[in-house]
Parts: sequence; structure tokens; C-alpha cells
Amino acid sequence: MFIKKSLCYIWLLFNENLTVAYREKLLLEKTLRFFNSKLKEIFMATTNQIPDALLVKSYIAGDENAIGLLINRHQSKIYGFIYSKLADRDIADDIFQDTFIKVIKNLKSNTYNEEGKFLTWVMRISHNLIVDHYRKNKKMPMLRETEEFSIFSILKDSSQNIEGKIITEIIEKDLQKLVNELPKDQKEVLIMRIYQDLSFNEIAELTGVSINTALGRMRYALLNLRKVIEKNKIILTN
Amino acid sequence: MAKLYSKETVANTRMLPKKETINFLLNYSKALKIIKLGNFNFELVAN
Repeated sequence: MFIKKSLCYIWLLFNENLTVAYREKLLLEKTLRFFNSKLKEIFMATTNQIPDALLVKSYIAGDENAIGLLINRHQSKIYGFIYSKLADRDIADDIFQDTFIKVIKNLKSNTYNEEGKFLTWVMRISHNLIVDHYRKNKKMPMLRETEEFSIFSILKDSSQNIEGKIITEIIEKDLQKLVNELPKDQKEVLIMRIYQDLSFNEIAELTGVSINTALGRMRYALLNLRKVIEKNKIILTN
Repeated sequence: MAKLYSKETVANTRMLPKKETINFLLNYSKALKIIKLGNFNFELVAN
């Protein structure tokens, strides 16, 4: 009984100490958070008082923190402006990035004149980039397929599919076999006319016959081909 | 009139770009160096 009592007492004591330590830890954390937020407020207040022109000047002189402050100060306005024109967060992010890349390049190359206001200048750059974006999209619009609409209901792909290509190859091979069966003189004229695209004058010259003979040989070649195709009921269409 | 129990969606009035975009811009600015030689500008981006 005594052991039980003393064990209970020790457990309670231990817990109480734990509770006190835990409470102290929580209080410390709360204090740290409070000081952190206050420090942030003081920092923002002091940096917000530095005019844009001075920040630009110090950035050009080599202070990299200045551009961070400038971006932080104006990001909401510029991004809001871009988003209001585009209504797409990803594209707005891209335009925002491109805008500031131009700003950075201009400032670093010392081509910026502090005549007007910095923000107006940046907004003008972003506006021009938005216009460029719309112009580019107009030339080559991107259409996304939905359940109701498919672009292939309007566009036609007139190129042959693989089945068509195979059939065409088979037809050409069959035709070559048929042409090879023709008599030599007719085959020669046919090949020169159809495959080598020569005129009958040229064929007559090359084969050493008159043009009428060449024409006659061509005619007989075609007639013979037709006879063979009809006789054997060969299909040469796709 | 019956009460509307649908949750009201509050529009985010403060539009901000992504943190990655800002970080990229700051890093790009630190890495970029522009050298002028006559009429030419050379942009160097240190990795």
C-alpha cells in the first residue's frame, strides 16, 4: 500500500514538472513568434520608405537586394494586371517572368533612364508582352479536344494509313509483274513513257523507230495489259 | 425565403506570382552580367 502510494506520488510529481516545463516552452515559442512578426513589420516599414528611384540606382550600382525589394513591392500590382488580361495563372506567371527578365537586362545594361516612374515602365513592358502573346496565339491558335468537340471532325488527314500503303505496294508489285510479261518492244515503250516520263518523240529517237510505231507499241502494250487483267480477274484498285 | 447553406467562396484579392518564379528571377539577376564592347552587348549567365 505504501509502495503504491509513493509510486503515485512520484508519478504526480513528475507530471507536474513536465507540465511546468511544457508551459514554459509554449510561452517561449509564443514570445519568439511575436518578436519575429514585429521585426518583419519594422523591416517592411523601413524598406517601403525607400523610393523606387533609389532602389533602381542601388541595383544598377550592384546591390542585388534592391531588385528583390522592388519585385516584392510591386509584384501584386503587376501580376494582378497581367492576370486580369489573361485569366490563366500559368501564362500570367510566364509573362511576369519575361517582364522582369527584360527589366533586369535593361537595368544591368545601363539603358534605363529614370525619367518617369519605375512601375509605369514595368507595366508598359508587361502590356507589350501580353499583346505579343495574343498576336502569337492568333497566328497559331491552340485547340484542346473536349468530349463534345474534336478537331478531327473538321480537319481531315488525307494521308494513307498503313493498310492503304501496304495495298498500294502490293498493287505496284503486281503491275510490275504484268508489265514484265509484255513483249520486249511494248514493255520498253511503256516503261519509257510511264516510268521515265519521256515524250513519244524522245522514245522514237531512243528506240530508233518512227513516232507512229512508238505510239502503236504503247497502244498494244495497254491493250495487252487490259486483256491479261480481265482474263485473270486481277484487282488493281485500292 | 430559405436559407442558403452553401459555402461562400472568397475571391483572392491579392494575386501573386509563384515563389519559384520570384526565386528564379532573383537567381537570374545574380547570375547575369552584361558586358558592353563597342556597339555590342554580351550577356553572361554564370552557372
